[in-house]
Amino acid sequence: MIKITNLQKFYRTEEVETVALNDLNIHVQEGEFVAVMGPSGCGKSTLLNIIGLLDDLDEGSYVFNNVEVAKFNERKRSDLRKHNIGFVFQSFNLIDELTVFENVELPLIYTNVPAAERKKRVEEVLEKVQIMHRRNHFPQQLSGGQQQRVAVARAVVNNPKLILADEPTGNLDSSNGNEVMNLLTELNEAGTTIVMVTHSEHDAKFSDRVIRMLDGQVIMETTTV
Amino acid sequence: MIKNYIKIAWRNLLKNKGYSSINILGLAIGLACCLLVVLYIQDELSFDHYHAKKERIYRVVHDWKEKNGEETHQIWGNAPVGDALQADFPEIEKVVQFSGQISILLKHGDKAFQEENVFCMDSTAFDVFSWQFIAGDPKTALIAPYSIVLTEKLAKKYFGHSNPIGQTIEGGVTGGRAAPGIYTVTGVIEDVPSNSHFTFDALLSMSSFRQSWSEVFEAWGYVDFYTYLLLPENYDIGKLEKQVPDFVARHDASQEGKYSIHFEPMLGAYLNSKADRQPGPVGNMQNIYIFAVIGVFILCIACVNFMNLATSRSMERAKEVGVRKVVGASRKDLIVQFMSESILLVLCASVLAVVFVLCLFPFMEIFAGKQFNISSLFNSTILLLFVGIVLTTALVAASYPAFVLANFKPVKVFKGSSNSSSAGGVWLRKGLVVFQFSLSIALIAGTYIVFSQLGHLQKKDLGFEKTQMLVVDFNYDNQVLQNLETIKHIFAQQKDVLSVSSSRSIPGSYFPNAGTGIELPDGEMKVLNQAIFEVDLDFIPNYEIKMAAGRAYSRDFPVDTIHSLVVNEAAAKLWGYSDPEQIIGKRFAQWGREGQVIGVVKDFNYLSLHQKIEPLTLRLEPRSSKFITLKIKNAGNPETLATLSDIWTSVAPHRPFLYTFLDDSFNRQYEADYRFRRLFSAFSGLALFIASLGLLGLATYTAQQRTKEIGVRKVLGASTFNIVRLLSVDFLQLVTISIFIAGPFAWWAMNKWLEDFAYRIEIQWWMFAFAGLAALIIALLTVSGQAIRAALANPVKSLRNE
Repeated sequence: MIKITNLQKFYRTEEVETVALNDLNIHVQEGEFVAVMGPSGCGKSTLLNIIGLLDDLDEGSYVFNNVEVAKFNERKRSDLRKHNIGFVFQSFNLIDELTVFENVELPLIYTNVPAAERKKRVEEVLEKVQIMHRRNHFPQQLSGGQQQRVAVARAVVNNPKLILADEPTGNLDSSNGNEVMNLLTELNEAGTTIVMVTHSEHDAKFSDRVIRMLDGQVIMETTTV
Repeated sequence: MIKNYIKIAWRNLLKNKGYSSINILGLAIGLACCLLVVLYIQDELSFDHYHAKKERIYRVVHDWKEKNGEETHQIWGNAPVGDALQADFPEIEKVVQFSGQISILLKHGDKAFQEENVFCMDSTAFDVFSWQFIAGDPKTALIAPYSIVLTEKLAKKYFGHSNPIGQTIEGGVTGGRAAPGIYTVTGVIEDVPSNSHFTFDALLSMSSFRQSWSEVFEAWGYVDFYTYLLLPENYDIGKLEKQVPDFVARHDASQEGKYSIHFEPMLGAYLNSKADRQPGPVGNMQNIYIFAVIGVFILCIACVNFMNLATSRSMERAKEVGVRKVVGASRKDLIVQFMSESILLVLCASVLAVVFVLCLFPFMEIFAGKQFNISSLFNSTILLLFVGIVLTTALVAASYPAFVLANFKPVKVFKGSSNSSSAGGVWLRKGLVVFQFSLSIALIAGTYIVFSQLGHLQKKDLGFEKTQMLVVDFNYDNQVLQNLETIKHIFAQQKDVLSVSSSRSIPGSYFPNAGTGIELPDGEMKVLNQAIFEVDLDFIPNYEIKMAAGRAYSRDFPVDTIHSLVVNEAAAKLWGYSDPEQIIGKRFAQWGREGQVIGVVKDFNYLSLHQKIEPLTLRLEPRSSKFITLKIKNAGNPETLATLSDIWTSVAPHRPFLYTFLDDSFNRQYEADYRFRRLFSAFSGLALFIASLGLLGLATYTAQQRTKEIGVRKVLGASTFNIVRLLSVDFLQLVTISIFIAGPFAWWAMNKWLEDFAYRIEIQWWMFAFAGLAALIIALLTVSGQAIRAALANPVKSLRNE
């Protein structure tokens, strides 16, 4: 599903050029659950952003579902993103001015799903993450765990092929964290590909494969069983 | 999708109540000002457009050319030109003439009022102008001598609800037009629309004038008539203009090449005519431009506010933008979202603006001298213009913030480095603040200059006494004139009356012109057409007009009554005597009188200070008087006035005691200027207010953005004062830059405005310094409140937040 070869990414300021990702190669098969680990600043999040087409790469190739997407323009990226990829962030990133329901509904609005269908799908997914009873609350009225469940619901409401999770349990206590990890595992079992960045060895155990990075390069890949 | 946008826009609006209200209020004021300016200008431009044949109506302008090349153009001229034009040019469909404005005492039963706004009018008037008849026949109403057509207002005043047609009304003297007599009401018309270049309350038939004094209708040299023409559809006025020289020659009217005529369209009469002696007050195209510019300025300031506040707040919206992009929003989606959000604000503001305007209508009379009502707002042109303005504002104000926000990169946003404080954005916002304050300072400086100039008019020594001068208007009444000396004597004996004089004209009032011949230094008699004041023996001392040479009229010189003339310095110069002493003893001839010039008065401002002092002759002719002027003490004392009123009733029981104070009536000439001042200062105040609102908003957000910096500085030992200075100094720099931008612009514009005054102040550099200082203080007050609050906040809190 994801085939990245010889990826280079630099960050430039006026005086220095920092290499964020250096000659990086990654394959992710459809239906896989991959955890990306490594110390702060090793380029995990940058990699995730590039996979999610939020950031562009400087050199190399990125094939998504057999299509070369490295040179896609903003409009094509956003199109591909909204139909194929869901995001879960460490800091939830819900819109404060929208209710739980409306936050989850948002991706469907941008893919022009009719209102009745939207309602059905949002309710389904809210049931699934067990937050239906709080559908009319605003994000600030929820606990962290609840907020992250809403964020997961938002990520999956469009039935994306791929979910990108950036330290999804980073802001949660262990029990809430486990709940979210179980949710992701369920989704994976149902066929969704997941790439997750994490610091937590505990969370990594939920994945099929762990990719370890250092200084912008993959240094080790291990299969968990 | 749109529903979602509106929902989030509405919630954002409610969540940031302070911000929203600053934004909406500022914009609403801007839009309201703009709407008022549009109404004002539309009204000014609508003058005389109600006449159905407006495009075809022209009027005669009488041109006088002196040997020295000086030209004067008057609308007011002779009578024969009308008949001659009609006879010589059959293509002229109608000619209509009317007299100069008449004051007349009208009586019906026990009701007697002096009407000031009356004309003698040809019977063709209603074929040319579109004044609507309520009763009577427009074809015949003004044919018979001593017919009168009343406006609805006057008909009610004299006849209440009874039918006035066929009833009679007694008319007094008319200042040399129709002799006193009994008029029959032949018509009632709707009140003349206020957007007319001249208005009136009643029309007397011209035949009444012709019957009383027929010879003036044959005299090319006698000036008392306005002549208007109705031309055929699409007629080229150039054709008529070309034939003028032959026409003037044919009628032997050119007076050795000095006199000619030309034509101007009636539609230009109110705003574009440069000629003197108009039948009514004229407008000023320059003021229209000034107000249009001010309207645009204020709207710009409000738009800039809007943009500034919206972009400075972009940090808060950055996360939302990021999230929306991540879940699939395209750039276009976001632009549309933020545009519609801004448009929602603009719409709220425009509704509020309409409410403001409706609330302001009652004050427009005071401010603009115009009456507006709801129907003036809901006419199609105004509505269309307003919608246009709102849409433009929405697009201008909304587009920039929308584009800025839509360009945020989610990756950067989530890293916390959104670009609301990027160098470009900061410079733009600073630029916008400078722009706003430049406009505000220009307006403040303008206001200050307008105030100074009008103050200057008030303080200027006019060359005559204008305070404590009570002027009784008896409108040439025969009985008063017969007893004039006795009446003056009775008044003079009152303890509060210092002196008394009578005259036909007083400073600031109407005066005629007279063909006057005076001997030149080389002995030749030269006839010039100059302003004339007909006065009595006491006029010059009573008005405390100083002599430059010779003497004033005196009872000690019986010869004065018919063989003497006093002129002013300007007249002495005009006839070639730069030293006024030298004109003394020269021969003169004027209106059938011959003799010697006996005195030269120092120039006094008998015209408004818009005009320079023109040559004037003061002719001893108490029998032509219209006014009695009493110099009194204790003018404010009602008892004094009551006593004088009682005396008047005893000496002239048939006439009301109509009086004004000279300073009031003189200042009435500046009514338009005072209105201009009121409008100008109101607009400037609003502009500054809106700009300050914007600054307040911006200062608040700047303080918020720098919370961490402030915290760190305080931990490291900065005092409250240090912090306040840190936060204020940036803004104050911007305001200072604005002063230098505003100065030259305001100087140029106000200099143009001052050119309209013959007596004017000079613009000084410190006027701009004053305006700048005022803006600086207001900016400082606005910003420092926020800065102090930020400086007093507990640093631990702000740092923990980080």
